[in-house]
Amino acid sequence: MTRAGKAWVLGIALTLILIVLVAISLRFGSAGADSVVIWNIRLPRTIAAILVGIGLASAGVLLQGSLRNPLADPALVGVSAGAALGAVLGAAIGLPFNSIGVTTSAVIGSSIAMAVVVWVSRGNGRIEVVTVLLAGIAVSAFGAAVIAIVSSMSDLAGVRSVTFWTTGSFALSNWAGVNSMWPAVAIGVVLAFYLAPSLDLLALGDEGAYASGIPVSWVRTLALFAAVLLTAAGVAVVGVIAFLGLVVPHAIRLVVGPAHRQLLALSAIGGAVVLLLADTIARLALSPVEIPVGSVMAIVGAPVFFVLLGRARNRQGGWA
Amino acid sequence: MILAARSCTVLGEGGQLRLDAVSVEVGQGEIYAVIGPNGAGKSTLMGILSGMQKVDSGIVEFNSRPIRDLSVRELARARSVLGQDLAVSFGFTVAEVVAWGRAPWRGTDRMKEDESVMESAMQATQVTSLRDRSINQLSGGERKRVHIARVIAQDCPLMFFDEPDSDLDLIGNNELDATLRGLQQRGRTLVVSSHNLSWISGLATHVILMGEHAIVGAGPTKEILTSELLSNAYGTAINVQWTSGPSGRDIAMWTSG
Repeated sequence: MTRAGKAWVLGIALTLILIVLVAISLRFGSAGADSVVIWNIRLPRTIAAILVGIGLASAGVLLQGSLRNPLADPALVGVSAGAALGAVLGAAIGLPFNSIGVTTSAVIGSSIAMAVVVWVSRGNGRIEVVTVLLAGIAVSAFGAAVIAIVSSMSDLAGVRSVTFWTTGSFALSNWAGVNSMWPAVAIGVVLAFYLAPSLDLLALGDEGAYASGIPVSWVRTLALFAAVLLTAAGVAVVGVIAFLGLVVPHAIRLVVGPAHRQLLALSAIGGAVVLLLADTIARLALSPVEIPVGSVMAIVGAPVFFVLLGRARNRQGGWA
Repeated sequence: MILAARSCTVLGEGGQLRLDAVSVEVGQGEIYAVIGPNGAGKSTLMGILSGMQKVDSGIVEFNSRPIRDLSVRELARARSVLGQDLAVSFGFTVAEVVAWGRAPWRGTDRMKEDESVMESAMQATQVTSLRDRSINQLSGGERKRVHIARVIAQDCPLMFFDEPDSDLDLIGNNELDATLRGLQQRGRTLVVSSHNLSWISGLATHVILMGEHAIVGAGPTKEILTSELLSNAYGTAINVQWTSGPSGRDIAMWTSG
C-alpha cells in the first residue's frame, strides 16, 4: 500500500477508536451515569483530554521538525515547565484558573522558556540535539523550584500543588478550562498546517532549506511559537504531561513517513486517542482512586524514549 | 554576463580575512570551475556568488541586480545550490527529496512542469529506480545523486555545485560529467568547485583559480590551468601537460614536486 493509502486507513481507524473512547469516557466513572454528571463533569473532561492530546502531539511534531531533533517533546525541552510556571505566576497575581488570563501567562512563560533553550543550544549555526534536552532539564528544574516556592508562599487553593503541575491531571478540567484552551489550540493547529510544507524542507538543514527558497528563521520562529501555543494552552489547565509529543509522532512516522501534512493530521488524532485512553485508564484502573495521567504516559513513554535515544546516538556516532 | 562580484570582502567571525576584495564575472551559458588549495576561499566565493553568504563590503549582482535585494524565494528561482552538508533528517523518500527542488515554484505557472522536470532530473542522475526508497538507506554516492537531481529539478538559470564529484565512483563521475554538460547545452550557467583538476580541465569552459583569499587567475580554462599559475596558487612546483583525452576533449595532466 502507498503511504497515502496507509494514511487514509490509519486516519479512519484512529477516528473510529476515538469515537469509541469518547463513548466509554462519558459512560463510565466512579459516579453514576446521569445527565448532570455527564454534561458537567465527564464531557468537559473528555473534550479537554482531546484538545490537550491534539496540542501536545502537534507540538511534538513542530518541535521535532523545526529543531531537526527526533528527541524533542514539549516537556523534555522545558516548554511545558515554562508554561506551568507562567500559569502559577498568573494565578499568584490573582488571575482565575481555567481563564484566558492564565492561558496567556502560560504562553508568556512558555515562550521565554523556549527562547532560553534555543538560545543556549545554538552553536555553529545549528541547534544541537543533546544541548536542547540538557537545557530543557535545567529549565524544568528551575520552573519546578519556583512553582514550589510560590505555592508554599501563597494560599494553596489559588495556586494548585506542585504535584498537580508536575504529573498532570484532568481532575480540574471543567467547561471554563475547555473554553480557555480551544482558541490557542485552534490557532496553533492552523499555523502548523500552514507551515507543514516548509517544515519538510527544514530536514535539509538551514543552508539547504534557505537555498531552496525557505525563509528559515521565520519558519522556525513561527513553528516554535505554534508549539508554545499548543503546549501552554493545555498545561495551564492540566499541568505537565510528558512523552505524548514524543511517542505519538514517532509511531505515526513509522507508518506514513515523515512528510509533515499527513504527520500532523494523524498525530493530532493519535494524540487525542492516546491521551483520552490514558485518562480513562487513570480514572478507571484503580477507581475510585485516580492515578495521575502524567504517570500513565510516563510509564509508556520513558521506555520509548530510551529506544529513540539509543538510535539517535548511534546515528551521530556517540556524544562526546 | 549573468553574475558579477565587485570588490567583495568577507571577514570571518574573529575578523580574519576570508575573501580580499574579490572581483569576478560569470558569463551566461558557460561552465565555471572554482579551484584552489584548501582554505583558499573556494567555499566562501561560492557562498557569496550564490547569495548564501553576505559580503562585508562590495556587491554581487545577478542579471545586473544586487543579489541582496532578491527575496529568499526570488533567489531560489534564480539559482540552485548543491552544498556539502547533505544530511536529511527523518526518513524522507527519494521522490520527496527531489520534489523539494520544486518548492520555489509553488503557486506559479511553472508548477505544471513539476512532474516532467522531476522525472527528467531523476533520469539524468539515474535515481528513478530508487524513488520510493528512504534517502537514509542509500549509499553515499546514491545520496549525492539524489541531491543533484533535486538541484536540477529546481530548474534555475544558474546552478552551483560545491564538490559534486566527491563520494562518486569512476562511473558516477562520468555520468555527472555528462549530466552537467547536458545542463550547459540547455543554456544553464554552472559554477562547479572541485579538487579534481583533470576532470575540471575537460569540463569547464572557464576557471577561477583561488589562492590565499583572493583570485589569482580567472579566464578560459587553457589560459588558467598552466604550470606557472597553478604552482603559484598551490605554493609548490606543479607541471601541467595538456593531452587529448579519449572523448576528444583536451585534458590537463599534472605532476607536482
